[in-house]
Amino acid sequence: MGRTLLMGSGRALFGLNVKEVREVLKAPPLHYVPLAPAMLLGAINVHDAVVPVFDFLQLRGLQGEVGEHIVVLQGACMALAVNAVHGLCSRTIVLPGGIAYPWMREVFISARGLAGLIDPVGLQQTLEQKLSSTRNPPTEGLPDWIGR
Amino acid sequence: MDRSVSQPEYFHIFLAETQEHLLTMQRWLSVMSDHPEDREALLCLFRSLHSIKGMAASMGYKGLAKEAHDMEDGLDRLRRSGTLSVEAVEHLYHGWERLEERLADISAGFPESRQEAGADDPQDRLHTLRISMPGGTVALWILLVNELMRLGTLQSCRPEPEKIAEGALPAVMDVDLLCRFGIDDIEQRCKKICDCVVVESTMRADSEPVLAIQHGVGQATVRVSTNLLDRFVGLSGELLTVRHRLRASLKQGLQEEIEGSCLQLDRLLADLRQQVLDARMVPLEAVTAPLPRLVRDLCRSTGKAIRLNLVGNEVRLDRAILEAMSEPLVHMVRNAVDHGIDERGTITIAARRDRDRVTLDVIDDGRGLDPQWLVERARQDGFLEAGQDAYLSGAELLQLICRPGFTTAPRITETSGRGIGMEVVRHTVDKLGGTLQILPGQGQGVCFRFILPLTVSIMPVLLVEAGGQTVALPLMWIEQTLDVPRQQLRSFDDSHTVDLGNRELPVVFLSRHLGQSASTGNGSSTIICELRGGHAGLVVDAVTGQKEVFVKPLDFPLNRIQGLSGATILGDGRVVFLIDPCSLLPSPLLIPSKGDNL
Repeated sequence: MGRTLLMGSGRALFGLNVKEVREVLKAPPLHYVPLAPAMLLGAINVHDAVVPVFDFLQLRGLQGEVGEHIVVLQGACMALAVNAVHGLCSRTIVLPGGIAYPWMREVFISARGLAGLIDPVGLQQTLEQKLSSTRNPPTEGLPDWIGR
Repeated sequence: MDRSVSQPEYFHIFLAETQEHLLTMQRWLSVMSDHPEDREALLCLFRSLHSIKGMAASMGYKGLAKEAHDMEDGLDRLRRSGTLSVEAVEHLYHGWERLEERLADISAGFPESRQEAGADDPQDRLHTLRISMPGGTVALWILLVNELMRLGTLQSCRPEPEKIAEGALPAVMDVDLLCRFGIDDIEQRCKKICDCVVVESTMRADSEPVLAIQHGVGQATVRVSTNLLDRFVGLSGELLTVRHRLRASLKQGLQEEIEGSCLQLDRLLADLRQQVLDARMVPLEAVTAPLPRLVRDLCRSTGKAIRLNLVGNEVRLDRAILEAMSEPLVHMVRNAVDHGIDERGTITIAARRDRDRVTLDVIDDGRGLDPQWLVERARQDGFLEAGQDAYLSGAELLQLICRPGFTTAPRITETSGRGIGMEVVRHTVDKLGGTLQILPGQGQGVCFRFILPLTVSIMPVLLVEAGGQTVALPLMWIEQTLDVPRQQLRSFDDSHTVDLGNRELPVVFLSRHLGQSASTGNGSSTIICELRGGHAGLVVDAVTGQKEVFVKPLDFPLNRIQGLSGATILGDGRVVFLIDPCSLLPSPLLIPSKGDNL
């Protein structure tokens, strides 16, 4: 079973497979993203790439203190702001996830308590749904190139 | 053979090269359909087929190799017979399509056996469909659901039939239908309920080739000549030398030498940038190659005799621009066949380079657009108020066809009439930083003139501050910047205007659109953006500079935010986003009042 990065967001614990973590940053400068929804806190410059940072609390529909630890996901072109990063752990007694959140791959027991393992792909899909409900670009969702 | 068995590094080369051969074949097929006696075309087809066969066999794609081999046999017979009938060319086109489908399947990772199984597999297939029925009543929608259930198993239906029965009329209905019929059959059956039903497949993986072969500008790869690569190597060597010299000068504290090295570094970096941009350039032919086939197909279905004339196919543009222009070009050609030309005529697509711009004309010699008729139609549909047309020039009247919802088609059919296509074409061109002009053709017909930048990677922008935040506005939108004290702005209810002497200009506050509070200072600038032929002012707190920036395209999820067109990283590491100001303005401000730069 792979090593897991354990992090705290609000009162909950979450894990991310360490292979799915690109970098962990502490309070990097956040740059303004115009017209962004509230859960998108801003963007950071990660090795010359523009990476959006999402408030992991708001992404779950909760309110609270915005975390200053930024976990940059590998390959997913996004980062999560969390309140604490507790380091690496091993997952024991794993239960199937997906009940609380569709993007929670499984629930496991860590030294700090019960934690949910994040599935970055599922998280991206959830994000896609959330963002699509607030957008309506003229080129999206149109039928074929028809009509003069 | 499964894709995973092939060595991945060769797999991509195989895909790119096979695509290239397919494009070459398409070009020669087009030549052969006009000149069946052309032996050179036949030989070139042979060469491409032979290469595809060889590559497919070496990669273990036996089905693709066999398909190419069978086509070779057919070509050989044609060569021996010395004649090439229209039917034979048609067969070759079908063969080409099968090759394309197989390659798309391979690219998507489907096993090769899928096509063989699918060919005579009478079993049910899952269709993900979007169904629209403009003006459909509750009863008609319920009948439609009933018809779908008769066709097969309706696995899901959104909105639920119960909701429709309660009176919630949907704009579209999304269904997952498991049945043994094709999408055309499904649509035909649905049309029995109501003529205006349109059924579209939304299942990408099975219905559309993952590999956009027909566009010829794949997203992942660009073919680069070895000469260009050699120049890159040369430049890298020069950069290394300058770096060593700079280090040595720094150690010795030789100020003059350091400055000289920095200047040389500037020159090399500019050179490198130019070479990299050149590597992104793709000839226009990459997107025009499928058009002869499209015209042939449309001619067959409409019974018209239309010739397609391609001029300047060798003109090179940025790959990203060509990718974006691919569908608009198809749309323009389809429009010209459907609405422009009555029985017989010519469509010309002509490209020419004009310094840092490319002019692309799509011209037809059909009946053209009658401004007077457009005015009547616009009035009828509520796009123009009585007398408003008196203030519009001829060119502005022609621009009416780009208004969302405006259509010249008498009724909605399967391929036209929604009045969406031209609006989308216009939006695409706007996004690319280009302009679309609609000109009367010479004598008759109409000319759609696209003026496009060569590249979208480097763009001049105006950095502005609004509500304490910095954003970038692409300079192509800015007509002029005026320093107008905020007190001179007039306000009516919630809207504002500024008096420019000869005209009253509506303005909007950028900070409000960004959800920020405006600066409290008295001094402010009003930037006037030229947008879609209309004029409007954008009030900002300050203009902080004008820069040429390297624009980073936005990936998910940033590309889902409407109004953002890119991002750039400034020299100090700050990330600044580019805004498409056109998306900020309320639609009344987009009404043409001055026209495009004709």
